[in-house]
Amino acid sequence: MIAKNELKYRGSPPVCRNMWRSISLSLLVALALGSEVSQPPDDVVTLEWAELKLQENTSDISAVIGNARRMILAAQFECYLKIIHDPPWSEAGNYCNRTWDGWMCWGDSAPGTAMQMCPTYFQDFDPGEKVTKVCNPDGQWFHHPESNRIWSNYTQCQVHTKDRVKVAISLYYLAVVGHCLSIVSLIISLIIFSYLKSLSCQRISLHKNTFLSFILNSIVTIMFLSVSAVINENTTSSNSVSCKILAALTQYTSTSNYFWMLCEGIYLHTLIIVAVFVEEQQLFWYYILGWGFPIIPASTYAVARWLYFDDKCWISPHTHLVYIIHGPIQVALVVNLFFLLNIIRVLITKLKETHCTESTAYMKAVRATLILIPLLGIQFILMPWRPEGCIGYVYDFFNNIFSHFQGLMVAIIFCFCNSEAQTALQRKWVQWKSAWGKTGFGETPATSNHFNYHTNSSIVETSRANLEHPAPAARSEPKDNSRALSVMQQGNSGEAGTHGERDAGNRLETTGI
Amino acid sequence: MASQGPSLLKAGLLMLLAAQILPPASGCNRRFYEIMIGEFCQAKFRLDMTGLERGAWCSWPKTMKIYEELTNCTHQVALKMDCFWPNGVVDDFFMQIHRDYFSDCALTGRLLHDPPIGILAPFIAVPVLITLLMTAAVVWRSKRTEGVL
Repeated sequence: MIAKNELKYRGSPPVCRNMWRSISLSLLVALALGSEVSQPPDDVVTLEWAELKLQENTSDISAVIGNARRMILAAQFECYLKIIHDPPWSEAGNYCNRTWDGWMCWGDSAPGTAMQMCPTYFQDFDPGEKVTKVCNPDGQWFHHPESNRIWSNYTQCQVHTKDRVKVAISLYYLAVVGHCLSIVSLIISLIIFSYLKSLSCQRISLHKNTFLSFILNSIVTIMFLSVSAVINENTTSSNSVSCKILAALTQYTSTSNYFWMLCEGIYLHTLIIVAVFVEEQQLFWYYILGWGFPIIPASTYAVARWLYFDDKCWISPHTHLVYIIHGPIQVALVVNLFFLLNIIRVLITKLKETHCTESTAYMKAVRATLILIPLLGIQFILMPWRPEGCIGYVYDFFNNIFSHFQGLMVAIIFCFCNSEAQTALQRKWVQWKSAWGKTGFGETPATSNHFNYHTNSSIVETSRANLEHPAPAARSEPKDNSRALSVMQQGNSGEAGTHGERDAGNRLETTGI
Repeated sequence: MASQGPSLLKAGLLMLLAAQILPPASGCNRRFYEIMIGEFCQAKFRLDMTGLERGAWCSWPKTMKIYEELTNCTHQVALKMDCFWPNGVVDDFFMQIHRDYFSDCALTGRLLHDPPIGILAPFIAVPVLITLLMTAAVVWRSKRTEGVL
């Protein structure tokens, strides 16, 4: 591992062959001048040469060394600038002189142990651990007993690396599993919503777009995680533009997820509170907000990152530039929450007295979205407060579940637990069974009676019943409801013919509500 | 007398050569190390820096390669002389180099770092404001009935 080599050489740079030639020439000159020189033993020289040659031949390692080397060199430069500009030691007594130990800068220290956080030069250094350097009472830095060189203790930086790598790998697999499950469940939901024409309405169109956004997000995130996991081990392409484009795309799809949830909230808000009896809303603006607007934060982030924090593949989250993405996302979540709370307030206070059934029905529509908003937002609330130690791993585990299983949660809440979808699926299932026609015609109305009787009141069911079967008994009381409720579903008139066999069942249902 | 001079010199050189071939008694000679890096690591550095114009001395992208060569040179000499690197001589050497060439350069900014708050704040605030505006626009537009965009 690179760090081990570095530990050995305390920041040894790659060899300069021209230097060796000129060194040998000057050594000969120095010999002639008569100064004393100490020859290193031959085996050490050959060993060093062999290792350095190996490093030169493998471009992978040299690329990694190059990156760490650049950081170490910059740190050295700034260290010596700091050393020459810092004020002299003012306290009495012995102290250890300011120094550069090859990796980090140490100022004048009183006798004792000086501490700093581990540097971020190497992958296996944990920046949360500490580096210690002991200053002896006589004003000399601690010498390592074996090699008798001044030595800083960097061992803590990689003591937990194996565990951390194991945890990181398992979190990576968890993320991939979460996104794959999300993709599968969302595709099934999309198929359900597209195939069952009885369900189609504007709200379902928005659901379909939300699902599509989550599917894209999962696909792009899986690609990005795989690429970045590979990049950590093999850094031949340190400035790969395609990796950065993938990083920017990940931010775009992530933002569009949250903005589609915002569109759902705005749609419900407009439907229930702002313009209750509008026949049909203009979905065009929702598409703009959901697909078009996230381009703005994503491209702003890409430009800012490229100009000011252009690290490898834009992977590092330790920069405030990520707030270019997180800021709008959190604004979307908070605005969404306010809209939904406002809807609930209105439903509870104003509509309860007059339109009891409607408010219950709308409540169910709002409930799904209201459950999802905290689930989507919880990772932003919890993220800044990661506890230390073993609990930190549990925290990471739950944070990962909330982040990477979002698509699955959306599919479950919006589709699989949706009573309308469940009823429509059951009806389809019954249709197939009767179309493959073992039992014949007579049984189906009874079974559908059974289903409909036990179904929860759903907006689509009541409105369909009212539209398709205008029997006088059914028509009298919910007539004023039907107009308001009909805005919740579109295109059901086409289904009248296929549901003809369930007259009795629907009549039961409407009176039952 | 004149003929004794060159032969004395030759004898002296031969003795010196013989003395150098014998294995040394101690390891790192700090004085000699200082002379070595002063003589030719610093010489090459001086040459390279005079090749740059004075105003570019504080520009890290331009001076990074030269600085890297200087550091490598001191390291290689230390390896060949069985000195550990870095050491007090290296510290003093670099302090002098920095006083001579880089004393008025910026103290930070060469590693990856966030832009100053004056640039960061607009980058974050503008998308947030546009978010709020777009939300308001969508809420307003969705109220309109069909046929009117």
